[in-house]
Parts: sequence; structure tokens; C-alpha cells
Amino acid sequence: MTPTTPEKTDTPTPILVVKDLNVVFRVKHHAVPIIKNISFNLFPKQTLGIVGESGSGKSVTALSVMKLIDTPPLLHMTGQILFQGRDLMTLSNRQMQPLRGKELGFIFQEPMTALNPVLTIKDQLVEMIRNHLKVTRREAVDRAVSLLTEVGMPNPGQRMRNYPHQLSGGMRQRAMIAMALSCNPKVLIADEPTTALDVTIQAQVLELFRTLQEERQMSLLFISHDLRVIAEIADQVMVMRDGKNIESANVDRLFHSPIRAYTRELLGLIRYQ
Amino acid sequence: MFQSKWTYIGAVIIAVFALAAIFAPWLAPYNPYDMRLAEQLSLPTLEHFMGQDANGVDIFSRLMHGARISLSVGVIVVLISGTIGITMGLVSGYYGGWPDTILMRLVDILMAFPGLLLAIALVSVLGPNILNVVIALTVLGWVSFARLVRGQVLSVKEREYIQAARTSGQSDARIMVVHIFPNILSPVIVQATFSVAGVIIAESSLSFLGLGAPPGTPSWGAMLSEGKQVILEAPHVSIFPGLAIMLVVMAFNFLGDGLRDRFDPKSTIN
Amino acid sequence: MMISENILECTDIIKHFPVRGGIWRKGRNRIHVLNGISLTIHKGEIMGLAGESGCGKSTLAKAIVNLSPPSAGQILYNGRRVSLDSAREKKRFYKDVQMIFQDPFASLNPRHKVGGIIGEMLRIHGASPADTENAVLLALKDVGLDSSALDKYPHEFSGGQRQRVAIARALVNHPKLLIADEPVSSLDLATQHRIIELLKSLKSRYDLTVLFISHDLNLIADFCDRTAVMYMGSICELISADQLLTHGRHPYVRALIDSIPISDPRMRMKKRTLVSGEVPIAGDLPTGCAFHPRCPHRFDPCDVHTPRLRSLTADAHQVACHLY
Repeated sequence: MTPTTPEKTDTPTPILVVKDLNVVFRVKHHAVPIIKNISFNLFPKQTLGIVGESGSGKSVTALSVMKLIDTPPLLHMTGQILFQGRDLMTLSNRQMQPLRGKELGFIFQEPMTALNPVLTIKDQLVEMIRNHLKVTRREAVDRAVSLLTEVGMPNPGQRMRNYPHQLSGGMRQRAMIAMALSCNPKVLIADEPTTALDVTIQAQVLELFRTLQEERQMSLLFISHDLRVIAEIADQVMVMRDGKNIESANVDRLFHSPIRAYTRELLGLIRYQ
Repeated sequence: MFQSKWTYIGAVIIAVFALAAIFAPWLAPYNPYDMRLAEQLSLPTLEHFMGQDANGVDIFSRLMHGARISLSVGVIVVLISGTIGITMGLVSGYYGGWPDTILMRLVDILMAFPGLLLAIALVSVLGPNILNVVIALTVLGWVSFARLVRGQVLSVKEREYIQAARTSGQSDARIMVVHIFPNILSPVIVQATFSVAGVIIAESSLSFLGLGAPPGTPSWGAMLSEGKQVILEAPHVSIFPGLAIMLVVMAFNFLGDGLRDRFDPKSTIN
Repeated sequence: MMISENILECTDIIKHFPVRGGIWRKGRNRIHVLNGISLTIHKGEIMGLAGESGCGKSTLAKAIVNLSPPSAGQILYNGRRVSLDSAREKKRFYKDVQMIFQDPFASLNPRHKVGGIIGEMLRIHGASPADTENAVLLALKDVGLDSSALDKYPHEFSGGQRQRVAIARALVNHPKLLIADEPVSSLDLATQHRIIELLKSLKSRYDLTVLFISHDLNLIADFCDRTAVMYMGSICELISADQLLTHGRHPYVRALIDSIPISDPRMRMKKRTLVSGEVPIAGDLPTGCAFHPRCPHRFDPCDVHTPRLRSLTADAHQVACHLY
């Protein structure tokens, strides 16, 4: 009946603040700006959806927050990335490592390439857990089983002994999500996590994201090219094009009274279908 | 074209040797068969800057003529074995089935023999001369091309543009030559470059063992072998042909490495 | 005289691949990809073929164009069995039947120029250089590209433009039947929209019959006349495309429709019933109805008897489900 606006009466402090992010790549001896003055806030327990067509810079934005962009393409990066008040921009790669995976979880689009093909799911989960938390191997295995159960993996005890190629696409993405969740991150960054999945599995995984966020009280940065998926999952939305922020708004406002022509155009494309 | 200076250096060395080989009859300061027994084993001088060998022949002139044998054997063997190997690999990879199985088992068997021993055996049976060296090294050489090409064809033939070509109604032969081959050419060229180096070493080894060029012919391997007997009193007789072999083989390997880097799709992103 | 002639009739198409399960089981196991597909395409229609990845829709397309001939079953093109034994038969068949592939980055030979890629189609059939050039330019113009494309390589184009080149290649010989295998699914939405509009206009200009394969039910509903939905190598429903989203009856088809994200955040909480589980990993075909392990409505006969396609109404709506 009423619009489902998220419960946000007080004004909490954002857990992640990105301010004037500029990312410049080096392409054949030329400096090419990829991200131009992007700023956004991610609040606790909320989902910020970033949507845009391919080449809009949405994935680069996600990777920039993790500082995961390699220096050959990257020329320089300026601005502020404040995670719980700490500016990640000033941290070295070495200082970032304890944060990646532990505080900031990351989920890739294609789990087949993001999971190591020669290790079992169990090995990868246990390694991830023991990397960040001081637990025995035994405890790590128990934790792995409960994580896989939490993400809805069928027969977790048995499936965890499989290699990635032995799992279906949906199970692989569940395993990937379990890895991202393994150290209870406060922020989960998901880059097109359902794009490689079939529509029935996509629906299941979106449902899973909603449940997990509810139970774990996480913040979610959700990247997608598909506005319909964003409509299903996001509280706030940022529309990107050519590395620029075209429009940011509450999801209800964005879908029902978009301001910018480009947003209306994108919405027109999904309504046409 | 050349990304690293080593590739460039390799190409220049090869060009110098190739020019020396082609124009040896005109450029060489002396006749490579002109024996001056009185001057045998003389050390490098201003007139003979690499010295003279056991028969008093000018080593520099012999090296220039020897380059003709080494380089032409290298190039000819790679051209013939490459053509055979590429054809076999294309057909085998494209059609699969039992011809493929038979061919690949044959390749496995040939690969299981130590190459040089097999070449020695073949040349011994056929008789020691340059033509038989070429034959023996070709018999060994096509295998690596066939295996490489077959593997490449297996991956390329599943690409959609090959399927699109098949749905245009053209013949299999045309698909292999016009559509598949250009897409696997890069690794083949790299392989060919390394193969030339390998063949030059093999030819030198056979000649060193007296199984290559007939005695007296200027050949690097044979020169090395002749120098071996006098290595203590006249080391220059073996050092210069040894250096020549080393330089050429190294140059081809530099070129091969450079080409491989260049053809690597990841290196074009820059 | 029939009103609509059948341009293509597939009967009981079966396709299986042998699995190499180690030394001991060699040749024993087979993955069944198509389990007896029968499908008729009428001249002039756009037939949709929907289903999720691995359901066999691309395999069926490849069986029809003989890229991967079926293990059993019969394919009739214009009432005649397709045989491509001689070079002549091959040329004649592929002049009439053409295919567009999913990934325009993979379907164009990276070493050939666009002019050569399209022109080759004509030269194979013996066209003169002058005729070839004219026809290529005409085809390029029809897909919205100009003569500057001729001397460019595929990598110089965007995804949408490459797909236009692929369409020009498929249409340059004026085929009768066009098989489009997910032709827009690798493109951005806006580009998808433009390519679909292009295909609509070319369909009438070239007087085409189209088999349009897609996982996107919205796209099928918009573009096609009729559609078949496949699940694990069988057709589970055959329905006119404009009724698909509203009148689809098979539980799997309903699940597909309900899984489509709704583009309105206000509707988010009105959650539909989602099917649980996933398609079994290759080879493990369930007994009875292939969908029964995931089906919310399964009852007695489902795990024993395989349901056959049955007409629901007088029109061509057919469903393979024991519920109906």
C-alpha cells in the first residue's frame, strides 16, 4: 500500500563515505579519466545500488573502494574513501589487506573465475577464515559448514568437498557469498552478483541477499546493469554513466519520479519490455 | 614491432649472418678451400683476423661459407617440417576421430625418442651427407608443429566465427586455410623461430660427429670437430665456430622470445 | 492447400553426448541434451525458443543448421530431409538457412575485414567482385552501417555494431530461415532494443522466417509470434507469444515468469512463489517429468510418467504437464 521506504527516522552516520573519487587510467600513453567526481554515502544496514550500462565505471567504483585496481591500468586515484572514519585512500596495499575480506567483503560476477579451480570449497573457506581470524582448523571447518548452511547450499557438509567446477552456477555463487561473509564483514560489495545466473537462480540469490542483510545487519553496495534487479534490492540508487553520477536518490523516488533524462531513458527500456 | 631491445639485437644478428651467408662468395676475403699448409694453425693476424686452421685455411672465410650450410639447413628443415606438421595438425585437430588418434600416438612415440640419437641413427642408415641430415631433422621436426597446431585448432574450431564460416557453406579445406590458420599463425611463427635454433644446433652436432657435411666442407659443426684435436695448442680454431653457433642460436632465441611476448594478447593491452 | 506452410519440421530430435567417465566407464555414460523435441515452424512466423542455460535450446539450433547433427530424429526443411553430403547441397542449404550467434565478439573472424567477412558469403556462391561489392554495401546499409565499415576489422566496432555486421552477413544472401541464438543477450539494454527494432524491420523487408532463441521471456513476448519453452531437453509448453506472460500454464513457465525481477520497488514485498533448487547437473535426468523435483505442484504420476505435450484449447496452446 504505502511505499516501502526503509526505516530511517534518525540520521545515522554512514559506514562508508566516498568523496570526490577520481580514477584515471593510462590507456596507450594517454591519461583517461574513468571515474569523475563520484561521491556517495553507504549507511549501516542499507543497500546502495549502483546502476549503469557497461563502461559506465560502476565496477571500477566498486574495485576502487577495495583499492583493488592494479597499477598498470591505474594512473592515479584521488578523493577520499572513509570507512568508519578511516581514509582508505591513504593506506598502503599492505595496510589494506587486513580490511579486505574481514571488514569489506567482495563478491564477483563470475564465481567460476573468482574461485580457485584447484582448491575445494572447504579449503578456500578455511583459508579465508584462518587468514583473518585466530581460530583452529577445526573451528574454521565448523564455521565453514555453518556459513554454507546459512547461504542455502544443499548438503553443505558434502558439497564443501567439491571443487568449483563440480558445482552448478548457483551453488558456486552461494559458495562465493559464503566466502565473502566468512569474517562477518560490515560492508559487502557485490559486483553484478546475479548477472551470470539464470533467472530462477537470480531470484533465489536476491532473496538470499535480502535475508542475509536482515540477519547480519550488513551494509550492501550492489552493482548491476539491470534496473529491475536494483528495484528488487536497493534502498538508495546511484545511476552512473561515463564515470559520472547522473542521479542519486532513494529507490522509490528514482523509479517513480526520476529527474534526469538519462534515468527516464533507462527506465523506459525496462518498461518497454 | 620490436618491444624489447633484445628482440632487436636478435634480429640484427640474424640479418648480419644471413647477409654474410648469402654474399659469402663475394665477401669472404679468401677461398674457403685454399690450403696454405705452411701457415697451419697460425694465430689471428691482421690478414687472417680469426687465424687459420690445421690446413692453413682462413677461418673467417670458412665461417662465412659455413653460415650458408647452417642457416640454410635450419631454414629449409623448418620450412619442410613446418609445412608437414601444420598440415597434419590442422587436419587432425579439425576432423578428430581415428586419424587424430593415430597421428597423436605417432607423435607421442616420436617425442619419446631422444631426438639427436634418432637423427644419428637415421643418418647412419641413410648415409652421411647434408641431404640426409635435412631428411632426418625433418622427420623429427614436424612433430612439434603438429602437436602445437592441433592444440590450437582444437580451441579455435569451437569459436563461433568458425561455426559461422561452416554455416556459409564453404569447404572444410577453405575453413582450415582461410579461417583457422591465420588465427593460429602467431604461436606457429614463435615455434618456427625456436625450431631454427634447434635445427642449427642439431646440424652442428651431426657434423661434429662426422655425420653431416662431407669432410672438408666448411660447416660449423665440422670445424668445431677439427678444432677439437688441436684445442690445446690452437684454441682459436674451435672458439670461433663455437662462438658463431652460440651467437646465431642465441639470436633466434631472442627473436622467438620477443615474438612470443608480442603475440601474447595480454601484452597488447599496454 | 494449407494456409501456413511449414518451412521446418523437427520430429523426435534426440541429441546425446558421450561422457568420458574414466577408463572403466568409457562410452557408457551419455548426457542427454535433447530428449525427443518436435517443433514445427510455419513460413513467415517468428518462433521463440525460451529456456534457461543448459536446457538445450542452442543445441537444437545447432542441430537444425547441422553444425552438430542430432543423434536421432528427423529434420525436414521445406518438406525435404536435410542432407549436406555434397558441396552443392551444403551451399544450397546454407544459402537458405542462416544463423546469428550470441556473442558478436566471438562470431566474427578477428583476422578478416568486415567487407571480406560479408563478401565471402557471396563469393562462395560464385558472385562476381562487382556484384559482391554492391550486395555487401546494400546489406550494410540495411543494418544501418555505411561503406566505411568495409575496410575495418571487427575489433574496431562496438558490440551492437558487430552484431549488425553479423546480421548483414546472415542476410546478404537473402536466406529464407534465420536462426538467431540469443542475438542480443550480450548487449546493453538500449542496444538490445535497437537491434530488436532492426530485426523487426528486416524481418518484413527480407520476408524471413525466424527462430529466435532467448532466455528473456519479455523479449520473446515482445518479438515473437509463437514460442516454445524448454526445460532439460524437452519442450514443456508451446504458446502464442503474446499470451506467454499472462497465460503460461506449466509450473516451470510460471516459475520463470515469477522470477523476473519487477521493475517497481513498491511491488517488492509482494513476493511470488520461487522454485527451489536448480537444474540437476548434466546427465542426471529425473524419472518422469524432468521438472518434478523442483515443482511445487507435483503429485502421484509426476515422478513416474513423462508428460506429453497436449493441446489445452482449440488454438495452438500445448502444455506437457499432468496437471492439465
